[in-house]
Amino acid sequence: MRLLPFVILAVVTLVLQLALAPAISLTSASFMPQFPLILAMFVALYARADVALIACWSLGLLLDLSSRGPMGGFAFAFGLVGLGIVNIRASIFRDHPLSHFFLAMVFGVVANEIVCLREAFGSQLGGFTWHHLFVIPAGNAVYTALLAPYLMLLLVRLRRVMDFTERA
Amino acid sequence: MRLPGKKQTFWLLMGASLVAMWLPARYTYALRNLMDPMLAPLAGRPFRAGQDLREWAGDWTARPKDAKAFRSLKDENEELRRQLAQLGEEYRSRLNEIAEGQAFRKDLLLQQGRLIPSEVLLRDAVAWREGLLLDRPADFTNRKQWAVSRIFVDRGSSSDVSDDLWTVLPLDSDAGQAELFKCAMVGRVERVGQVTARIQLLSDTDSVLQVQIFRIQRGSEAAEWGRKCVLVGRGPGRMMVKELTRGQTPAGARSASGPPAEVGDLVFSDESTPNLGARLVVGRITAVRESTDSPGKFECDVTPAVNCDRLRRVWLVDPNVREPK
Repeated sequence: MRLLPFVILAVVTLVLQLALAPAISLTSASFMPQFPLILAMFVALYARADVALIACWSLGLLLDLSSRGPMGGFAFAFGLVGLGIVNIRASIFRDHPLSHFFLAMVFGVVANEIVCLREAFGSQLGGFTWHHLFVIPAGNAVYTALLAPYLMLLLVRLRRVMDFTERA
Repeated sequence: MRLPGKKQTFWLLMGASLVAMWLPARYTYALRNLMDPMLAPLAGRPFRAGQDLREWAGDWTARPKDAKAFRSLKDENEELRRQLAQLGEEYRSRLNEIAEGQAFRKDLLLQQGRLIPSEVLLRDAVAWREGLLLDRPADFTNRKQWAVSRIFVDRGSSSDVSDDLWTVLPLDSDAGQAELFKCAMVGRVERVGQVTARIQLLSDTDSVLQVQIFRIQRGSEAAEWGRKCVLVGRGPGRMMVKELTRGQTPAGARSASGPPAEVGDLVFSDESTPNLGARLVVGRITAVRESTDSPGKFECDVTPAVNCDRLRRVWLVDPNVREPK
């Protein structure tokens, strides 16, 4: 994987997350897509395994740095997402839009739940409800999954630029 | 010494992030303060464009669908304006009556200190966290200050609204009482960087604030504010007042026998709030129910007085008056 195109894509997805996601969020910012997760999925599907894991982790760290809340939550969660996808990618149709949809949904829920549960455990005020713990993460994951096939179509065209030309 | 391979590095990083997750957020402020100044120039303009897009989409979906509907809405609008003017007069006289009787009007305005205008650069990237990134004014260095904003209305000069118009809003309006309650509380400054500041909104799940509930009734003679209670954030656009007991009468209510709050009651910050020293409107109660955790107690859902999706500028409250040089 080439570093420079990855950094550029990471910055672009972060800008999309900060600028576009609140604008297209549903029900007063409760449900918004997670663009870095789609990039993490793309890298985990096509990059060499060991590089993909670190790339996914760093995307999570980028999201942690640009948000409030405990540091490391998304880095850990995206690391697990990378690990999960790298382990199952040989047994799925990785170019199929349905695969992208289901991967984004399942791993979106996993990533959001990890961070949400950590924050709920750390919250002294009991402000976290079932709505936060289950509805918002699931809503975010579904929204991300709906966009994932379209964005993956664009990303797959960048495989040559990213040097993902050979099957990892 | 051999350097760890990529796989070992990954597991080391995972371990480090697992530890960092349990560290208090303040230990990682330095790292985040490095990131924020980079985010603002990168995503600030696209964020504004996104806000414009969302507002345009809202107006577009609310547009009249045909000419007949447009004419009918225009007539309705003129009729409403006439009613508004009448209500305005009535409302103004009632407010004066209340203000004279209770002398609480002065409590709502800042007695000292100054307001520092600051542009909203970004919202938080994560759906369930409620925060804003602000362009930090050069002379603003303190954490734990408060951010206030003028109440927003979604009509401007294109709808013949100008500065001199008397703006009256019914008590059950989302936008609040523009004339009486000059400012609405938005949140608290959580972290101040070199050129930016992070605001934790009151609706954030880690936010807690001492508040008082106020009910305006015609002919009210109540002279004191209600008992203090606690407002906690409940995520995007949601807050809750907890642990209200039946005898806890809101200020302005006539009797203590009623429920502790009603839909439409207003929630104010407490004047003893550190670094604030003023009572400002926080939100409006939208639902009251008996608590499932503590029988005999009530809890209320509160909608913020300010729609944070539309926030473009806030004012930071600096309670310290500096001597002129």
